[in-house]
Amino acid sequence: MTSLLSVLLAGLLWGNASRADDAPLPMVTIIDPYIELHTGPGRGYPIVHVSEKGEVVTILKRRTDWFKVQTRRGKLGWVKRRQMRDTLGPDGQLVNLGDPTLEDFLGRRWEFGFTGGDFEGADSLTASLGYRFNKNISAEIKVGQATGSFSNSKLVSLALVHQPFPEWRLSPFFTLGASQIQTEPDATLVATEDRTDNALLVGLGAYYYVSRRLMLRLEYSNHLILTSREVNEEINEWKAGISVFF
Amino acid sequence: MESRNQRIFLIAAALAALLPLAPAQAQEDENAERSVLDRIITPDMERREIEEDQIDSEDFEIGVYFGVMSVEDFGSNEVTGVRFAYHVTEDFFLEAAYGETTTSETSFETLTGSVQLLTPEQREFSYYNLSVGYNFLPGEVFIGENWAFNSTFYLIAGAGNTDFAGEENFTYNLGMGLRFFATDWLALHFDVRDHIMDLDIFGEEKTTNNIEATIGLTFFF
Repeated sequence: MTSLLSVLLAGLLWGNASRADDAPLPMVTIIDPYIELHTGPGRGYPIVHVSEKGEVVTILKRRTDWFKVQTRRGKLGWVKRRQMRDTLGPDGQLVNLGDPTLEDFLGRRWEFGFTGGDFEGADSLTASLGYRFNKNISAEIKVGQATGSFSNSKLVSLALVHQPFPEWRLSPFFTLGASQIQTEPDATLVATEDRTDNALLVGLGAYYYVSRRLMLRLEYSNHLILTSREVNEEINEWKAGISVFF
Repeated sequence: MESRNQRIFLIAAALAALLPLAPAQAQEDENAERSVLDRIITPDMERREIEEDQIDSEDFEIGVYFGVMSVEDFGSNEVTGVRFAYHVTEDFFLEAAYGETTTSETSFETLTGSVQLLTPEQREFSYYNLSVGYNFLPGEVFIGENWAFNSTFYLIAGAGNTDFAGEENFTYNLGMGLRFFATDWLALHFDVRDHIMDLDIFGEEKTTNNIEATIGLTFFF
């Protein structure tokens, strides 16, 4: 995360010059019969140069699954990850630039996602940030907003997430946490006061690993609002969305 | 007697001093041997492992945009906003955006002259949204004979909230745009977006389409 943060900050401050250290750029030897250099990081961009097996290229940067490389003769271009997968380092060691696997997912610490859904009849939108302590347990903070016909709510929640089978492609999870819900009645209705309630939440859901960094996420939460009245109020929340790992 | 005692004491002292020394001596020999071997076996160069983390990644995009936004019944006005995107793959990206515009009077208000449906504060229109984009038709665009630039059209859809007329409304957005790469890390955006929401300021609820056309500049980092 520190590296991500520093890249973020450096990126914000210096635009493109986000390399924090002056370490030499990695150079690799091509193992594939040839690699194709595209003008841009995508399969739709034309190929402008081809480098053969045994040539040495310098890796300048990466965007999604494309590496920008420079050949010895100064040709620049973007190469797909698949062709860089088995390149050799300066000492002849294999370089691992392969696809991130599910194992890599589990090693990643931070997760960011957003979901949309139904918050007791209101349309809701939630952004979440999670930190993974180990393969099974993570903590998550969520900020959401729900807009309904009669009232709008803002919601902040903090929860522990337990994934009993993190290695499964479709992996269930359970959440337990606390939330604060701020409700304001619709302005066009009679003036009533805003109120803020604390709530306990339990939930369950599932992740589905789509590819690389991307996951789909389906979730149900039950908020038990702690009111000062005789009966506590319950809110059911359904949502679906996407998450990415860093 | 004394000398015998002395001898025993000396032997004991010598043993006490030597005993811990003996294994230390052996250890030292072993270390010396190992370092000699190391010098022969390990090449005299620093191993540089290449990990993906060492490679600068440019998956994030941040930028600003401005243009025109037509808010249904409330005129077309200047809009400005910021966008932040994360590129998951070459095809998909996630985008968060925030924009603001100030709406003008409805035709009804202008015609009647005296009626004001909204306070100046309520005329402020701001929105945020979270969207998923799909890069569609990647390729090159040509300017004149000598210039070719990378570009991609994208389709984008998402949801968010709009703060307008003193209330917040759940808003869907749908649109498409052209991302024109001036360099690898600097892009121009031409974007058209429809913000769809239900408004009930005129009494009954009505679905409104609020179309926004913008030009933007973004940086990849």
